[in-house]
Amino acid sequence: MRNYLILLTFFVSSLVFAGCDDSSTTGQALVAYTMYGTGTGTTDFVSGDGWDIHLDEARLAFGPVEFCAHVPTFEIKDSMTGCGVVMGQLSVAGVIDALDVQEQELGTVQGIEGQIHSVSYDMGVSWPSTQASPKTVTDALDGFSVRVSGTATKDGSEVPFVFEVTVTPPNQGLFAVRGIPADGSVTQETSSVVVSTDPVQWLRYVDWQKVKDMYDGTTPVTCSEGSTLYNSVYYGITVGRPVNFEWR
Amino acid sequence: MKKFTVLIMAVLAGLVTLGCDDGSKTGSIQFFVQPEWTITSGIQPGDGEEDMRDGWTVEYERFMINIGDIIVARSDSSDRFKLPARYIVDLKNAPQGGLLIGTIDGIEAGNWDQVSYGILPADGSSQKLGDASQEDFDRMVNGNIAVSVRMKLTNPSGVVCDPTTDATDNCLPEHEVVLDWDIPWGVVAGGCAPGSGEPGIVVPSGSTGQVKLTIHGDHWFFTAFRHENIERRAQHLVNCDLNHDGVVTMDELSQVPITVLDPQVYDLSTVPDATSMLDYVKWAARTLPHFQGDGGCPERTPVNPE
Repeated sequence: MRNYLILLTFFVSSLVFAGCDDSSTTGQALVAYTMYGTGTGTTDFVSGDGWDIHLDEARLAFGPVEFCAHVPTFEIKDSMTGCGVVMGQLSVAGVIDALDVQEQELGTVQGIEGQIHSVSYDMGVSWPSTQASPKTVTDALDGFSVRVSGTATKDGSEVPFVFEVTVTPPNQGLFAVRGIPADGSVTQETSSVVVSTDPVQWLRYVDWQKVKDMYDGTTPVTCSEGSTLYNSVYYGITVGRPVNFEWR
Repeated sequence: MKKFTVLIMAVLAGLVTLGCDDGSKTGSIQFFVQPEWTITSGIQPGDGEEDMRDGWTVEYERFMINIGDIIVARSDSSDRFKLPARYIVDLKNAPQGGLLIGTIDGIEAGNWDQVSYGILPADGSSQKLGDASQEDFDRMVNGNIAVSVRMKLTNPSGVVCDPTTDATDNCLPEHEVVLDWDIPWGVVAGGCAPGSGEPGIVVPSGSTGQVKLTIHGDHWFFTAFRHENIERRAQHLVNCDLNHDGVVTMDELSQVPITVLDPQVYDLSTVPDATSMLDYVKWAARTLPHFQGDGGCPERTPVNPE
């Protein structure tokens, strides 16, 4: 009889577990695919304040990158420093020539199958939680995150400029840009993700009249850290989704 | 022994029932709108995590919102309850524990994982609740205002520095500055979840639970729109008193480019887009709705005035 009771207990207990189990995990297969960067090829455009801008160079250091399952948001206690499920990682940084429409290989993304909802990334400078200070991931732009140069012209004034800005993560263990929307369904058939960026957007905050006022007639205008001009380029490459992603 | 066996089976069957209860009973949920302590008590300067770091003391003189459109739903079914009423509430003078704004009765007991609510531009459908004055109520409705705030900022060594120039000798003494804004931009805040635990609410069987829709009052001062690795500062807003009359208006905010913010201090990467300091305030306003104290509502859908 005792054995009978034990058997009965196990039987009913199994019913409890079987009846209430709402999970069915099978794991997600690992995947690897190539990340490419590409530009718009735009070398000439008119600024919002009427200046004709010609670009000689527009290059952006990009990476490391983390793709996340978390739905993007611009404010929540957990999601901005967390990722939900990490769906993919690019651990290196490359440089995107934004004046070139050709796809430029940045590295290999390692990850898992599934739906990507958001992305966090650095621009050539990282601050891992294991490091006491930020570190440069690529020296391709001499430690800068962006270099854009060219000439601004209006009403007979021609002003050469060279803007170089470094984007550093705000804190240890954080990416420089976090929780940006992205939409990619990654499967074993996924071969690549293309990162596209437009230098016109990088420069949308620049007050070109002030740039002209800074020009001494010989030396191209540069932006020094702490100036409004520096901030203009900094926010141009970090605010409002200046980088977009497409999975193929 | 036969009776004993029956007893054991009855107990185990009871366990099955308890373990798999699908919530066939019903309960009620009361919703309260609750002011964060910063609204009722102000924010002091200091070095503490929640202090103002740049010497300014903040005291609210007015904090009005138009709140409503509370929705409770389940992601695995079409079950959905809505409290469609919209109320204009004076949060500065609301009870610290919250002001009752609605009750849902007869809702199936158990977890409801989708809760959302709105802070919305006021209109003719808005109702007055609590101690809101008729004058404030009328201004909210007539102006289609979602959030109306007036804050007094004081600092014995305070200055206002022209934000539109990189010059360093551009500051004038100003020890008291008022931020006075009628903000028309609203938001529907969804995916509400407590600070810990599962999203949504748990409806008790046969009784009534309480839910606090908590409105935070310090986000204008955040150096980034998140809750960690931030500081609370006011100088970037004080500097927008362009005419030095002691009042920072929304018109003045619109004249100051967002690029005056030092990127070494302010992280705007999570802001969808911003051109002026008015945009900074707009996005800050859309982060005010919270849940059960420090819980959050991460799915934020902007609502613009018509």
